Amino acid sequence: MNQILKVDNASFSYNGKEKIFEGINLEVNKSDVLCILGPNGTGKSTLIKCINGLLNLDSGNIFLNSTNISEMAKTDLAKMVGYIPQSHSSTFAFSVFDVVLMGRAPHLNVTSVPGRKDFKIADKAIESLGISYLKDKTYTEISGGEKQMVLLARVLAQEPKLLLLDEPTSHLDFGNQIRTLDVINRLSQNGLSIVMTSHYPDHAFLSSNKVAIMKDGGIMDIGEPESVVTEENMRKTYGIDVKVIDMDDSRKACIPMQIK
Amino acid sequence: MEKSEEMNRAKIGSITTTTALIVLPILLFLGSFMIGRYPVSPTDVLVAIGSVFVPIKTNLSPAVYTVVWDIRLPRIAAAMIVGAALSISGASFQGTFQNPLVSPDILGVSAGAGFGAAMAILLSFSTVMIQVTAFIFGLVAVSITYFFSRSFKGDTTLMMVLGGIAVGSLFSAFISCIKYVADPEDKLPEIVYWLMGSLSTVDTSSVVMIIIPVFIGFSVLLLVRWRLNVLSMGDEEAQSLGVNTEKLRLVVILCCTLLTSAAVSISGIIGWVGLVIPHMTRMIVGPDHRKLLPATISIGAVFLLLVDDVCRTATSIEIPLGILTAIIGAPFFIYLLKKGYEGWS
Repeated sequence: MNQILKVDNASFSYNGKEKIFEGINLEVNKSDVLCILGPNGTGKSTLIKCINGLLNLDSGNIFLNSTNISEMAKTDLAKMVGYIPQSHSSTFAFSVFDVVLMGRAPHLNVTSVPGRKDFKIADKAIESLGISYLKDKTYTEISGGEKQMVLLARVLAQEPKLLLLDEPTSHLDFGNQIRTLDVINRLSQNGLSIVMTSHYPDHAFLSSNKVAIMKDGGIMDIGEPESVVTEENMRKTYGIDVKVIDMDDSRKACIPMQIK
Repeated sequence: MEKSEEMNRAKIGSITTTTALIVLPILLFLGSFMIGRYPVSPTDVLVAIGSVFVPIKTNLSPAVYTVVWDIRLPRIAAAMIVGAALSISGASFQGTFQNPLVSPDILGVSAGAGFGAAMAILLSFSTVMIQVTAFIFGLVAVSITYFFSRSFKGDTTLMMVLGGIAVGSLFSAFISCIKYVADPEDKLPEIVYWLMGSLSTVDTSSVVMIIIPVFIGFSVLLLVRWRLNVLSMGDEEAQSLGVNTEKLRLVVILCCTLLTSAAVSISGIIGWVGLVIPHMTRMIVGPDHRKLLPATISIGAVFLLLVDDVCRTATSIEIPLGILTAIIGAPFFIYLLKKGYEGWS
């Protein structure tokens, strides 16, 4: 089945006592887009960081291409997994091209500087997202939506198999949210697997073929968007009333009910 | 069409900058031989230097040789090395700690070295031993800071900076103790003068002594310079790009400590250079450490040599170098702040 990621009975705590999450099981195949929903503070971001090797599980295992990530070298992990954090800033005013070029880090050894091949890959990544006009701009001076595209370009330059996006749409305006989801769809069509967290149940309908709802440190429900993003599940998850309606034959939409 | 023209102009601009960064230090290096109380003409400088390497007959007086080789060369070399060492350390630290306000003595190296020197002066050590002691205590201070920060769980970078401040003021207090007990007729002025920073006691042996640590520091920092870009984006991000941030940071700290300790051991405490030069360089070549680190070497060397030239010739008694760098550095820093330049928003 071309399995890329398998999370097996994973649990994590920061201090060894209070579990952030427990007994998490997930599978992601090639070209899958898995959207993780859930209220603030349920450990969605923490789970993403564990998959990325930034944090270590208390128990359970994470497999990438059937290899346990705890046995992988950090550089090998970085060749497989790309990660875009929730919020991002840079202290120094790097050019957009320099930022994208950083995606080549796992492919270069410690003492080398990027060469012509790396420049080409970075250029290609920039072009594929249609942001060539940003190439020579200063990263700290472009808009939030543009930054998001630049980080996506960087992660493409990294040439991973799996993309982890922590709330990729959270700081973006309406148009840029949809444009980001559009890019996510295109990337998955090209064979990338994607795991993202989101606060918008609608985004699951727009871009995902799998949805997981995390609540109280566990997975409450997982499956196809149509069967997971239901009126009942949304009430249980967020404590609000929503209406899930059919937009047309192919898509549903999730709309909050009137505020009392 | 317009685009390629713009690119050409950018290219020509960067070539001009590169040429200037290479040629300026060389010109200033040669020019500085001519400055001083004993006048030496440009041809005499070239002949005095050249005749050692190529066997040419000269009728230069031995005094010229002494001035060029034994007095001015060590001093010029020391000024350039110290300037370059402090500047590249400052730039590397600012990148590593993702903080543009960090200077090379943030981890306590200057205070440690100052304490070592003060103690050595109090115990009437020789000039060489004063330098060695200063060097060692510079390393000791940073080691204390480093291991202190490692004993904490969580944000070690922040703990390192805070620890450095604590260790720095601890050693400053030790320096005060030594000053308090030092003989005010004899030892105290010497300690105070050392702490002000000056290159007036530098001779060939002190320059030779620091060559190895300086060479190691420069080479390793230059080798990892692109990784510093990635590290400057923050630990989590660098790790997700496969960078071993702990190890890389340790390497950078080691190199910068070697460089700063070596510099401080022969020059005393010279402030501001390591803070201001990296910013100045970033304005010229941008924040990319691939260009930034080599450029800070050049600009740092030129800056400190210029200031030292002024120090030893402007007035009849020498102005301590550390005073002048602060007098130039502090207003310049305020000017940068006022300009609110893009590098540190």
